[in-house]
Amino acid sequence: MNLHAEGKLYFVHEMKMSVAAGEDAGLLKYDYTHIDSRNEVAFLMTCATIKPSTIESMAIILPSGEKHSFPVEQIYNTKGRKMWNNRIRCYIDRAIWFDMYSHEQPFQVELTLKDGTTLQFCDKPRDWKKNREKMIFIQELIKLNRE
Amino acid sequence: MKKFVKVICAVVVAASLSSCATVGTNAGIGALYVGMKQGENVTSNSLGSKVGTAEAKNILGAVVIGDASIQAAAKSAGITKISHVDSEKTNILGIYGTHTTIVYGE
Repeated sequence: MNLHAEGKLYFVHEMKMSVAAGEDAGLLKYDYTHIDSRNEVAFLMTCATIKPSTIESMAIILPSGEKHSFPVEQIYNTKGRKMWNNRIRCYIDRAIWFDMYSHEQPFQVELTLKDGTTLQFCDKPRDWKKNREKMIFIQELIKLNRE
Repeated sequence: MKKFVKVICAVVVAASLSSCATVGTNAGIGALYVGMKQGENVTSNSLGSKVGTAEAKNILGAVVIGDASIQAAAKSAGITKISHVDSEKTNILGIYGTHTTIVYGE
């Protein structure tokens, strides 16, 4: 039995992103899953909010101002110690995922809630430098293995 | 005899209070540091594109908290069909340890 008929699977463990704009939100925790056979990357996120929220869409805003929007699948909401954890999943095109880490400045993640409010998250400069280096290494590995 | 019993009791109490957050692995127990990933279970389902994790923590061997179950890990990623399960274990000097269950599936 070949478990890996779909190619290699890369899983990047959970990272955290700070709130850039929007009230009543905590950190955005996220991880990536990439599998060779698919032209997309699974972006799994936990967004902490004061009250349970329905998140409808996500947008990636690049430093150039370019904005890519994606629908979001809500997995569950659970009560944390002080805030509600909203677990969501989104699929990003692989080319856009590579582009996200090709800039010197960090990208922003914008979540749009059902009531119309938006939450924005962005890496702080020190975190961006560290995360970008890690992601570029992983993305280069993916590109080399796919050739 | 009394002194001997007192010594034995003292040893037992000392042993029970000397907390240690050690984790066992398939490669043995690392007394100083553990950072290891190992396989746990395999099914006949295909690999899938989803990965879910669930973690439990051990502090000084005195407090062990968290939910590292396969169900929690599968739920975290919305996985309904499990392909296989790995675990990742870390431990630093027996002071702080973690056990993470990683579930792959669709």
